[in-house]
Amino acid sequence: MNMLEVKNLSKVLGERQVLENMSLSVQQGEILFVLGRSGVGKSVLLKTIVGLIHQDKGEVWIDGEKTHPERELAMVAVRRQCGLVFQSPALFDSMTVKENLIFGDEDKARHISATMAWLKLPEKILNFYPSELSFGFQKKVSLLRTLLSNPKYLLFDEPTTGLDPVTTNLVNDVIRDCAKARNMGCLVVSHDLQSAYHLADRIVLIDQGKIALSGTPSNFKESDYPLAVAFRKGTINFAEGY
Amino acid sequence: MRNNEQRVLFLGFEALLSPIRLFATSCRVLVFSIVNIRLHGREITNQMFESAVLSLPIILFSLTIVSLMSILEFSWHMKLVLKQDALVPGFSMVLMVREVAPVVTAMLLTSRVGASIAAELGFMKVTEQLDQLKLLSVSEVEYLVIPRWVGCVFASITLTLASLVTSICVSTGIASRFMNYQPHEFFNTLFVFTKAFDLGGGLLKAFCFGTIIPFVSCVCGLSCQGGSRGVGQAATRAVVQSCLFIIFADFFLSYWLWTF
Repeated sequence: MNMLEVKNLSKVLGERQVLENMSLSVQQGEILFVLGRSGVGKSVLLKTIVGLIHQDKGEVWIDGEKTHPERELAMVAVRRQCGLVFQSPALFDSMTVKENLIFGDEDKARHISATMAWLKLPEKILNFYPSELSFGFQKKVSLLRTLLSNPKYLLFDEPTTGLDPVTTNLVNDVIRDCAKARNMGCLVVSHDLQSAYHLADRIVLIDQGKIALSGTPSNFKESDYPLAVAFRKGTINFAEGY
Repeated sequence: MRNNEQRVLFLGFEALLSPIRLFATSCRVLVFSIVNIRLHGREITNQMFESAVLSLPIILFSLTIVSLMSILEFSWHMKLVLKQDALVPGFSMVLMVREVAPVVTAMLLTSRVGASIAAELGFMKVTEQLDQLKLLSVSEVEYLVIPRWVGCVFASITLTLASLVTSICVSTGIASRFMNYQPHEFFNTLFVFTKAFDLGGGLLKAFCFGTIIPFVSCVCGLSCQGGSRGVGQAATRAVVQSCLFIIFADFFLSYWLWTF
């Protein structure tokens, strides 16, 4: 079956165990939300999948093939299949929007207009520099750049953080369209519980580097796991550390 | 205590070895890029413009003042010891060609271009632009380091030559105005001690300094950590380490070229 699988992934950064024996999978056409407090290793998980960070232990499998992060050339194919949208827009300041979009593969220029219309981006911004755009527009351009590569799996690192409600809804619609209309597998790392309820097929809750809870949004709503309760209430029980 | 000393020693070695490692990788990537015709021409042109053209005013202004001071100092010392200053043009030209033009140019380039390289790459690192480059399968050495290397070497050599021309013009003007020399008389005695080998040595130094600045600065930028504070520290480290490397390299090159 076509799926992105993470098996027993472990990573220590400095003296902290960021990921500990983490296993999860995303099928094509599925939306998996990974929730967790800041600094629990959600971004590290995404960067490990595409080989930007090397795991200490564990494996990543894509469509039944194991990835080899130590071989930079082998990761080129993996990165073509897995598009990552960073938390920050990560646009190149010295290039215009259009140059940013076609950088690395000029063939992408053919699909720019259609994808811009999908994201409701005006074509006039193509000649702007990133610094001339608002943060919301920069995030949308960043998403557009990843979509132009037409990946099989899309990894989102907090895609709606810092966006206004209208843009948040637009980004959520795009994520849903990617999964349901274009059959991409979407792994979304987020704090945004409302988006998770709205979009997710499954939710995974990370706590202290491990998967604490995995299930449907309904399972999450009913769970009495302290961190899940804290997420729902938006408050922290300091006695329990959540 | 002992752990701290070992840590400082390790960091010192790392500061020395990292630019050398990056240099070795860049040489390999440069050969690969030339063979595969994959040089980023526009980026190289931008870097040449940024490093050479935009540094020209500050370097010419500084070298004008330095050559003015060196002529006046030489004249004062020679009059004090030899009671005449006939050898000033010859001696000052040797000093300019061998030391002042390449070293002062390199120091100024370090403060202008080196700091800028470290800050730019550091910012790219903390805003995940470097990760994005990897995702796009673009080599950071090929796209970021090699254009800056070519730009800096070009800037260092051309600006050293421009500095020499400026210093000759300024020296001739000063000598004819304050030291009772006729311009043609001063100009004729300029090259009494200076040989083609000296000019070659000066340009070799310019090449070496033009190589040191981008590699040290790129290592500082690429290893930047944290936010804006980290970027600031990377820029400071780039300037300090580049200056130290340049001073050491200048000593060894001078010893190798003119003492043996």
